[in-house]
Amino acid sequence: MSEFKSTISENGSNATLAFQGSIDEDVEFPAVEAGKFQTITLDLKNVKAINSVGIREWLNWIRPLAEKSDFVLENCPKAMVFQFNMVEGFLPPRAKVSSFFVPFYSESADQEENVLFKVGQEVKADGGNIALNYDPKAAKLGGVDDMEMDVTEAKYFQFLKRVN
Amino acid sequence: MGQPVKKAKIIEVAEAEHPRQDSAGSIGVVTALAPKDVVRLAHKSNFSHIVQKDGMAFDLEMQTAQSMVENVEQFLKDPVSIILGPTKDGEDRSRLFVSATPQDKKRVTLDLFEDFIAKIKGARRIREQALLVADELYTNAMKLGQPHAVIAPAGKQREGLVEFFAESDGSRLVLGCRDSFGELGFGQVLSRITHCFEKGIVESINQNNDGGAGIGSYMVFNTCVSYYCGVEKGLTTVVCVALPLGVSEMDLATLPKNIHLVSA
Repeated sequence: MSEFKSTISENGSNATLAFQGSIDEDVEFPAVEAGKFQTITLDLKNVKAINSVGIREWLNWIRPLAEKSDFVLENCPKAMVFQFNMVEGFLPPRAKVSSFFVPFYSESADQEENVLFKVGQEVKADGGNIALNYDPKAAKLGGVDDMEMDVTEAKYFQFLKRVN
Repeated sequence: MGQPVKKAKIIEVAEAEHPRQDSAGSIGVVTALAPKDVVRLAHKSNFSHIVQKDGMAFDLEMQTAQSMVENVEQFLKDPVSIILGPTKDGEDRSRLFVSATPQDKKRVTLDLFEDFIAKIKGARRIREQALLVADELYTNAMKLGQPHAVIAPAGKQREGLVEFFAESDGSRLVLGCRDSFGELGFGQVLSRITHCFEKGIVESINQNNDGGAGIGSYMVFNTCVSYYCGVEKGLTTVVCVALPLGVSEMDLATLPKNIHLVSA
């Protein structure tokens, strides 16, 4: 577990916030003036975990901001994807997810790999249909040939039907 | 002559409906009951245990249920010895025990859990779920609870005690928490978990924004295959869960859930 940190980089009317660590009861989300940015990109690559109090803090922080700015979430780890699917309203209206990690597992090697899926490339969402365009064997993922997706496809990608 | 051994009645329930016969303290045996219905049945009936016939270890769950009824005090003192059974001769179980104080940092305890889980064979794919459970148990006991000196019923102040533990027998990983407050109310916990299932997490937060909305309990229950609670009012609370080893996160999500609630 690690303490939460955030860094902000501004680019005209847009901003990118990179989060790192755990989102829990000790989280201190950055103070962002509502409406200051047209688009806010959240880089969640280094978010390690989120607990129940963290969910509440997240909602309290993002909901008022999302009323005046568009949100794009990138590099979302598995822990965040679970919340996208489990907590209806976790992703604010109009939010987009541009990329997220998908876990793969090799039974023979007891090896795990997380692959970054970019929406529009490795995964396409067309309304209610989700199409995958990634073959772990062809990609020689982990150097073994029995890597399989370690999540239930229908559940893990479900959030894409509601956003993007 | 010793005292007669207390045995729990076993009642098979066809659906998630309140059983017609008296269910107080009994074991309700169900088949393919959805997680939300398990909680609802436990809440609406007086069953102490709901065990799924098609669960991953039905006989073991039934044995644990009976053992909890027969040895409530032992469960409250050493819950893992009841859940996993006593250590057999020559058996080398992996074990973690942390006695926490309010001055401790959560991160330190969770790091211990993380290191422990990393060494358990077959736990790789459920690592995040196990850590989520550890986080929720810690947060609930140490951050949302009152882990400091408490007033005992006699009016004398005594030091609070909170312990966290994990143990594995090679097929299951048990994670748990034990405190010396005994404030947990089964009805309230079950009601809040049910509310999360029925109304969703956001609605539960909207209605109760100051913590205690049951989201943590809901997440813990939703993550495990078996959920065990024990209370001795004003003295001890025990909350434990079991996770199967060697399964994927997606298998874990589809396994039927059991619930066990006992009080001294």
